[in-house]
Amino acid sequence: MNESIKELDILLVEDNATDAELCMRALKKHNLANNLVWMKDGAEALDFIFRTGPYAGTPNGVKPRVILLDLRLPKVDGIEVLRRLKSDERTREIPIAVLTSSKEDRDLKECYRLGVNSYIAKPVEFDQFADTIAKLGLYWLVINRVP
Amino acid sequence: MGSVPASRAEPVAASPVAPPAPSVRQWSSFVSLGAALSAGVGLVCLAGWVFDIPVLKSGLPGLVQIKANTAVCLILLGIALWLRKSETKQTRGRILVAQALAGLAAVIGLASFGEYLFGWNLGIDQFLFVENPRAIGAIRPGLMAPINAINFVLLGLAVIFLDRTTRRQFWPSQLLSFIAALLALFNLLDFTLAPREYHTHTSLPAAAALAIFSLALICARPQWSYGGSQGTVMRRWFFEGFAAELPQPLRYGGAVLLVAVATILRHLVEKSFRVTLATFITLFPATFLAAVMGGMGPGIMATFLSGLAAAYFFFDPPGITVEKLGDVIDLAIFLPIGVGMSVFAESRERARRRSEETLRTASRYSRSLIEASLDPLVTIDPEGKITDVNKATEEATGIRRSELVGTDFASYFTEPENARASYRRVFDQGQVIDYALAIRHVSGKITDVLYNASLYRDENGSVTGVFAAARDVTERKRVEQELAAYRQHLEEMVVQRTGELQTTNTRLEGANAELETFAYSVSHDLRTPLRAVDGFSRILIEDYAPKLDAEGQRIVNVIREATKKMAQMIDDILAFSRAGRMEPSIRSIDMNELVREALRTLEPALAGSNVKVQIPPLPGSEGDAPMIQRLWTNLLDNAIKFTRPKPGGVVEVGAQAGDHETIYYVKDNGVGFDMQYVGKLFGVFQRLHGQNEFPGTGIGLAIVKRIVARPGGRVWAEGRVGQGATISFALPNGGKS
Repeated sequence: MNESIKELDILLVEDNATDAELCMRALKKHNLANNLVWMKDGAEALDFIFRTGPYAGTPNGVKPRVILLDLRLPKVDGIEVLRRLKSDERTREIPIAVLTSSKEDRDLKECYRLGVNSYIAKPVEFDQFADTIAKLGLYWLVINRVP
Repeated sequence: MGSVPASRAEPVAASPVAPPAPSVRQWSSFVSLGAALSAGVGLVCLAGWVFDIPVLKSGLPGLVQIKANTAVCLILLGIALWLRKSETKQTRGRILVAQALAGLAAVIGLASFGEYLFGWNLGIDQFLFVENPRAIGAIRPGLMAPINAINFVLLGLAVIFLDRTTRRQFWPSQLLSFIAALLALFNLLDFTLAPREYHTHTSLPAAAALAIFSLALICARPQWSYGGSQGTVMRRWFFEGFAAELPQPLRYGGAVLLVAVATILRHLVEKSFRVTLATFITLFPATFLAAVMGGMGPGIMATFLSGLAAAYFFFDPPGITVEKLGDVIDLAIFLPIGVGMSVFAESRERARRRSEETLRTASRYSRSLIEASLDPLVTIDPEGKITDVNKATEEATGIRRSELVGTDFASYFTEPENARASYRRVFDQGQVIDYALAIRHVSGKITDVLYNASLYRDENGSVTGVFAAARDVTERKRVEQELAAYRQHLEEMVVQRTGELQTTNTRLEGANAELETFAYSVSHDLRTPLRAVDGFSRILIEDYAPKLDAEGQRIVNVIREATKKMAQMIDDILAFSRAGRMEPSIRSIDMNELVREALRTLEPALAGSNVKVQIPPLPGSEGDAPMIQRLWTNLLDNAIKFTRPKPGGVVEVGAQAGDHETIYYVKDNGVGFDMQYVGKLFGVFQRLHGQNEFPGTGIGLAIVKRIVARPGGRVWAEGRVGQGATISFALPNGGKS
């Protein structure tokens, strides 16, 4: 979003504004949304990570500590984003947690085949949803360690 | 008389009207000879008169000379018979001329006899030539011998009435000729035995010519026969020594002839060797022959003629009186023996004819059977030539029997080489069965046949040929082809229908895939707004609680409840859809574990209720583990849900292993249901209870049904209102219990 970002905790890729808002609200409650960038489609997310397109020319790359990725995205869908990130040397190590409304087994299997780090079906109920998101944030930002 | 074997080329069942047999030609040549000889003798004698050459008139020097009128009568009769000798080539004019000539001879004879009898002089005796009054043996110059005169009357009449018959098939001309022949032979005999005694006043040429002529006239119409076909007459006569089937007059004539020859023979032997023979030494064999060859009538006649001849010529004194005792005894012995022989010969002949008739009847019977056969029958000789056929063969080929016999059997088939191979195989192996050939009719029509053929042999057992019977299978072949066509059509229809089914199947699969995509979209897209509704109503409660009164908060909670229900419904629909379209991976499964897992997910529901769940060890089965677990979850969930309100609720799980399937059940003593609605139980969105009473989407049992149906199982339910319900399902267990 802006170039002042030195350190990025969470990259949220989510096309649905209400979901994004609910998600960020849940994280904020636990003080986890301080360094969060929200991308609305897969193409923008890839440009942001790989410094291409509108983000070309920006200085050194920013490595988010976790990417929360929705599967159904405009332009480039979540599966494709996952494939691109996991097949690139530079981005392979970034933990990616898929957050999806889909309960389809084939999506689950495909994501794990591509090397997803976590796969979470979004609960419909807000309480559960908020709880899940909070736990997710805590885990990846606080408990988990990356190289 | 051997039975004539049913000759192959000449079947016994000859047509009723027999074609002219070869023998008739031979008879007719004798008739021609008689006529020509008669006329010839007359002409030569007349020439003797014209040129006054005595030897031409007497035959031998110093004998009685023929009279001119006698010679003329011989010529007239000879020509008349020549004209009438053929039975078939007769014209009216020809007959009239012949009758006129014969009539003239008869008139001359009658006139001469009248002159002799009454002493008339009609002036006919010296009409042509004047005879020396002192001529040897003459009664009166130029007057013919009375016996000849009578003969001319008889023979003239016989020629005139040659083709007349009485109603009983009697031929008057034959009788007249026969009497004439008898007289002529007597004449000849007398002349031969006592040539210089002139008893009859007859000349040698006249006696000989008349004898031959009368016999020829008898032969001119030999139809008056004793029976049997003419075709066999000559054969009998020459080869079998029995003349039973000779024409009747000939048999009598033959008897007379035999007696005459016997008489002359005895006389000649006695004269030549100057010995005295027994009276009947030659007459007895002659009588015997006459009896054997001619039957009873000729035999008896020969007997009495022999007696007469013996008395007349051999007894002393000659003449018709018998004076010596020895002669009387001879006659008394000879006559009964002759009659007895004749009767015996006749009875033998009748027996022979009966057996022959029997044989012929039998032969005709078997032949008629062969002819009656609807199958073409044919016999073939070892060279492959047809030797006999029946009517059916004529019809199959369109060719007559006479043209088929003697031709190449193979040439009447569409495949001659194949046909040839068929009878060769019969000669090699003794028979063929159901040999397929096709007969070609002259019209080109083809008859499909199956040939059955075997060897046939003569009475000695040696192979004579092949007997083959064909069965017309045209109709059978047609039916077979029709059946084949039907079968072909059926196969085509099956292929077509299969194709249609595959097309439908493909279309259905396409529709299914579309539905799947749709369900996937629904699952994803409906969930998100739902979460927003839920999430933001929650935020409303959290952030704006102070601004909402109790009613406001209740309304927000209603919204959230509805959201929850809708989410559940979406999940169930997706599960239902997945149960139908997922390809289950069938494996051996441990039911106990699946039930435990299912129960674990239901713990929240169980907690706080007093429902007891009883689970005995369950037999394993085969199926898709996740799906079966879902099945158990739904069933147990249902059972717990409907049992909870009742105190002492018990949910009982059980199973019963069968040979091919294992039946599991979940039984509860809950609220139960009315069996009237059992049909609705497994339908989608079908509920038997109010939403407030027992919450649920109405999809649970529909999912169960789908899961069970996938591997070929079934599910059913029993229940009573207030008593509880039992839901059972059966899964194939792969044949092991």
